[in-house]
Formats: sequence, C-alpha cells, structure tokens
Amino acid sequence: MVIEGLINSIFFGLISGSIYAFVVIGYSLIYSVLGFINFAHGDLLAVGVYLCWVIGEGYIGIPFFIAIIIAALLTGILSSMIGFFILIPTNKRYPIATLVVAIGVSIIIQNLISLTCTSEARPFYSNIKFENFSYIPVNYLHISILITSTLTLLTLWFGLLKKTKLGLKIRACASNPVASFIFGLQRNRIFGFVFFISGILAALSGIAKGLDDQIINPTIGFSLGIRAFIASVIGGITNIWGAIAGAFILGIIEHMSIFFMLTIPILKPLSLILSKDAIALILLIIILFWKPKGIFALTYESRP
Amino acid sequence: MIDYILHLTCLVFITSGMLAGQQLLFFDGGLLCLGTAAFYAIGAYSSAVLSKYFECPVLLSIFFTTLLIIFIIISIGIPLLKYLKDDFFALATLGLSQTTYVTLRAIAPGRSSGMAGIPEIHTSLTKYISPTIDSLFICIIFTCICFTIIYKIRKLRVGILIKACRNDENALVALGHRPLILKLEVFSIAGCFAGIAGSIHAHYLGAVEPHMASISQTILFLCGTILSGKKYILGTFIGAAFLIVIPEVLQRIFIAKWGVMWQIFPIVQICYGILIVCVTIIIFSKFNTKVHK
Repeated sequence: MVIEGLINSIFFGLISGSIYAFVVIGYSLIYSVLGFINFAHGDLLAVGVYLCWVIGEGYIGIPFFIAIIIAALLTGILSSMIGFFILIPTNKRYPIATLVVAIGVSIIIQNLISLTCTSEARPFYSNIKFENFSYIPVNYLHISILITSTLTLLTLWFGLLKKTKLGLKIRACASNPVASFIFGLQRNRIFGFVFFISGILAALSGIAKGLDDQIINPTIGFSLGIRAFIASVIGGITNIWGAIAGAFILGIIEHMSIFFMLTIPILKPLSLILSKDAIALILLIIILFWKPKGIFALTYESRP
Repeated sequence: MIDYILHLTCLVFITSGMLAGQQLLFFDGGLLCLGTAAFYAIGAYSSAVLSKYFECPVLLSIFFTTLLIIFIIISIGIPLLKYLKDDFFALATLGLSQTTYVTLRAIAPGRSSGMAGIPEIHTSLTKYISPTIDSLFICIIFTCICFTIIYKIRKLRVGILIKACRNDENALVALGHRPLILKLEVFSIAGCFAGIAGSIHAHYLGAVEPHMASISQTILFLCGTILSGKKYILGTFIGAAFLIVIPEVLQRIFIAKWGVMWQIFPIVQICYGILIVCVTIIIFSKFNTKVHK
C-alpha cells in the first residue's frame, strides 16, 4: 500500500514537474541571457490559457489545437513586447528596478484578466474526458503532457539551441554577454527571440495546467509561476538542464511530502498547515541557504 | 464623517512610519524586501497575544514585540544577507512572508478568521479628548519617532556608508568596513518599524487577521515604498495616502455611480501596477548606470 502510494506520488510528481519544466525554461533562458528574473513570466501563463479559452471554447469557437497555436503565438508576441519596451530598458539602469517593474507588470496582467474575464474560476474544456489507465492512476492527458514536455524540451535544446545559428548566438549571449556584444551580435534580436520562446512555453504550460485541472482562474499563473521559479532556483537558474531537473525534483518532493503527511500519524497535523506553495517556499529557503546558485548551477566559465 | 477622516489619518500615519523604514532599506540600502508584511503581521499578532492572553500592558507588549522582531531579523537576516543578493534576497523574503501567512492561518489564535477583542492603546489624555484623537496622537508620535531616526541615520556617517554599500560593496570592504553589519542594521530598522507599526495597527483596530502577511499585502507595501520616492522622507505620506485613501475614494465613487463592488479591487490593483511601473522607471532613470552596474 505504502509502496503503491509512493509510486503514485512519483508519477504525479513527474507530471507536475513536466508542467513546471515549460515555465522553468523561460525563467532560465531570460536569466541566462539578460541576467534578471522575469517575475511577470508566470502571469503570461494565465494570458496563454485565457487566450486559448477565448479563441476556442469561450467566444470564437476555433478548434482546440488551432486555438492552442494561436494563443501560444500571441502570448509569445506579448512577452516580447513586455520584454522589449519595459523590462530591457529598465534592466540597463538598475537590476533591482527590473524586478519591481516586473512585479508591477504582473499585477497589471493578473487584474486585467480579472476585470475582463471575471475573477471567478471557470471550466476549461471540461467536456474533454480522458480515460484512465488500468494499472497506473494517470490518464492519457497526463501521459501526453509528459511526452509533449519531453519532446519540446529535447527539440528546443538539440534542435534550436544546439543546431541553429540563432541558438548558437543565444548560447554565446548566455555564456559571455560582453564578448558577444564586442563580436557584433545583434543582441536586441536575440533578446526578442528569447522572450518570444519563453512566452510560447509559458502559454503551453498554462494550457497543460488548465487541461489537467479542467478549471482556470486569473491567479493560475502567479502560483504556478512562483513554484516554477523555485524549481529553477533549486536546479540552478543559469543551467537549463539543471533548472529542468529542479522542476522534476520539486514536483516529486511536493507530492511525496503530501503523501507522507497524510500517511504518517505524527506528520498529519502538518497537512493542515502546509500547502504545495508552502512546501515549495520552505524548500526554496533551504536551498538558498545550502546552495544559493542551485544544485546544478554552472560557473561563469562553464556555461554552455 | 470627521471620525472617518480621523480614522483614515491614523492609518496613514501608521503606514508612513513603516514606509520610512522601507524607504531607507530600498532606496538607500538597495535591498528589496518582500517580507515586510511578515514583520507587520508578526508584530501585530505577538503584541495582540501578549496583551490579550497574558494581560501585559500595551506599551510593554509593543516593547517585547520589538525584541522578538530583532531576534527574528538577526537569526534569519545574517544568513540571508550573507549569501543572497538582489533578486534572490527579495524572493527569499517573499518565502518568509508566505511561510508566516501559512503559519498564522494554521496555528495562530483564531486561525484563518483572525483575532478580535485586543486591548486598545490609549494615553492618559483619553479622559479629556475623544478616543480617535487620542489614537491619532499616538500614531503621530510613532511616525515622528520613525522620521527622526531615519533623518538622523541619513545625516550621520552610517547613512553615507549604507549608500556606499549599495553602490559598491567591494570598495567598502577594501576601505575596511563590513557590508553585512551595515545591511543588517538597515534590515533591522526597517523590520522593527514594520513590526511596531503592525502592533499599533492591531491595538488601534482591536483586531488582527492572517491576511496581514499575505502576498497581496506585501505588494501593497512595495507599491507604497516606490511611491514614497527616494529622496524625501515626507514622501512616505504620499505612499501611505495612496495605499489607504485611494481605495476608499474609488470605492465610494464606484458605489455612488454604478452601485457595484467587484470591479473595485482589480481597478485599484491595475492603478497600483501602472504606478509601480511608471514611478520605478522615472526614479531609476536618474541613477548612474555605470556606478550601479
């Protein structure tokens, strides 16, 4: 019974981790290339899922898969615009100011969604039903999220970042921004592309989360964004693979700690106190004290 | 109506006293603390518990609260300030805020609904003047003390060292100073002001709730700090007025015009968001890029 529960929590942890992984790449790419934390990244996730709902199920009625593509592209464009016109100019002046401005942007996005689509939770493609597997407690959606996430990450890394010229430029910018500038790289184009990719991934993550819960609300991005950020800090925000590993570690720890709190009698009172967010934040504080740069952080010289 | 205005004025004074500490921490010290709401709530709860359950005099409970806040700041501030910088420090303090919120909701008296019936704070003048004016008098004294401390710190050598620490830590170390101590001093002052403000708030209203430590409250305090500006201590009144008065005014306008309530919160929040973005860009556009990079 205990072993079965443990296996189940590892499964669900992997699925949560794969959702976090989409968001984590955005954080990691932006931090590696631009050197600041985009606090508004989590809210782009809510923008993506709400755009998908408006284009698809809510108002226009476009088929689901086309709605996903359009929502992801629009979120990517919005992300580029926010980065280009607000965050990058601020970052040139004072690093902490960027975080404050990003918090401001996050508040605006979150409340604009509340104002236009109401702050109440609403169903998201609840008519789509996914069958459960007979031997494991997950359904086809969970497996497809896991597979899509893995394929996207592999394509992004081995296809885009490793094989293309643009990927090489992005890695050069992440490795040594000053040298890349001296060698004449058009950094603005690279920054724009990085924001565009992170926006697309945030939208995909939001849609995956929405499908998993079958319910969405304007704060969906804030909570998931913070947890994904914590995951990237755990893994090492400067190392994309480390950050992805952090996402899976956080997912598994969250589910396993909930499982232990519910099964071990001494820990049962803790289940009333600790939510998933609280577990993640406690883990963040521990990791920040133990390894402030993350478990798999790369040094400046050894970046890819 | 006058009582209502006096009530808002009291809240503005309490908040501006707290924002004075935040102004020193953020603009002079260069530290973004997202755990202010945690200290505010800890101050409010500890003072409330001491005076309600242990029947401790109000002033003594505020004193013990200050000691508790200093203890918390020293125990968590040293590792935080030693190992973390900029964004990471901000996020660790956000973690502190969220942890406090969850803990208060789970184990504090009254749990998620909070505590009421907290003894009120009064001076001996209460026999001659109305309780609201008496409370206002206490709030003014608190704010004046906060302003004087911040003003003196800025004028003294330590104030210049704090700014130097923000600009270039390595240079300060080369000159034989210890940045950690300076940062800890600023962090302690800001935390204590927040804690005492929380205590006075609790005794003034007679009630506390865990929402005081929530992320939305943290963001409100951040907004107030930004709106206070970096230069003038009296700017904290502008920040506090925005936090306290604007929501009330907007609420009255909405109810009078449309009779609806639910849009108020998002609209106020959007206004705060726009203000945060615009004011931050304006304030930091004057910072010397070469020095701060």
